Amino acid sequence: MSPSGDELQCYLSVDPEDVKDGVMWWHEQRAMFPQLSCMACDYLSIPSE
Amino acid sequence: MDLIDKVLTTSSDSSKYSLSICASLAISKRTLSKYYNKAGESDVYRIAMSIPLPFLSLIYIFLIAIHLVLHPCHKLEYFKRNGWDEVLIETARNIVQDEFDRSYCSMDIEGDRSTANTTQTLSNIAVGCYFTNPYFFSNNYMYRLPLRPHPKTCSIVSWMSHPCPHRETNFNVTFLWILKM
Repeated sequence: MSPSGDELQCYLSVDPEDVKDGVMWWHEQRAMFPQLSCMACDYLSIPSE
Repeated sequence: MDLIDKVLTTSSDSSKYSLSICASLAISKRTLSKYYNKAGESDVYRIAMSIPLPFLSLIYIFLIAIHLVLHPCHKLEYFKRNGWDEVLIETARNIVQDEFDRSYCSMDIEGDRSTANTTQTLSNIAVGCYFTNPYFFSNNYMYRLPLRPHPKTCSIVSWMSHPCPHRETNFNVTFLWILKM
């Protein structure tokens, strides 16, 4: 399995949390998910308004 | 954009409002036009506009899947709660996995914590989509996604007529159609 698979699998193995600001959450988790957090912040920060 | 322009134009000429309001509306219209024209000048916007609708829908689906799976309050639970079967959930997961492996897996985290270069194609198209549908990728909107009836238990017509934000319908119906292809 690729290292990225480990990160995604680890992330998905935990139940969802009641998080309003996804980008901030990922920023706080960047040590645990160094690469996945980059991807998440890229996608979750696409502007909307 | 046409509607906004029309409303601002008619309102700024209207005698219903005071002079100061009319002036503000006119300035707002000018500012909006300025940025809208700049959007039209960008390569991203032109690329997004030149993509045939079915493919654009496909990009929507990819982005929505990535959004949902990577939002810590949804992950794969959104799909499970809505009764999507395992194959579809696996598909959503694979979309994220593939994009991850393609663009982020080999990123040098120490050297560069910024956006992965190879993601620019998809991300730029996403920005293009944003111009066509500004609320589509709203984080808040994602957070508020309501539970939806299982798409397989009702006809597509009754399903579409179910009251819900049209963008979500658009997403789900498109997803359904893609799966039927």
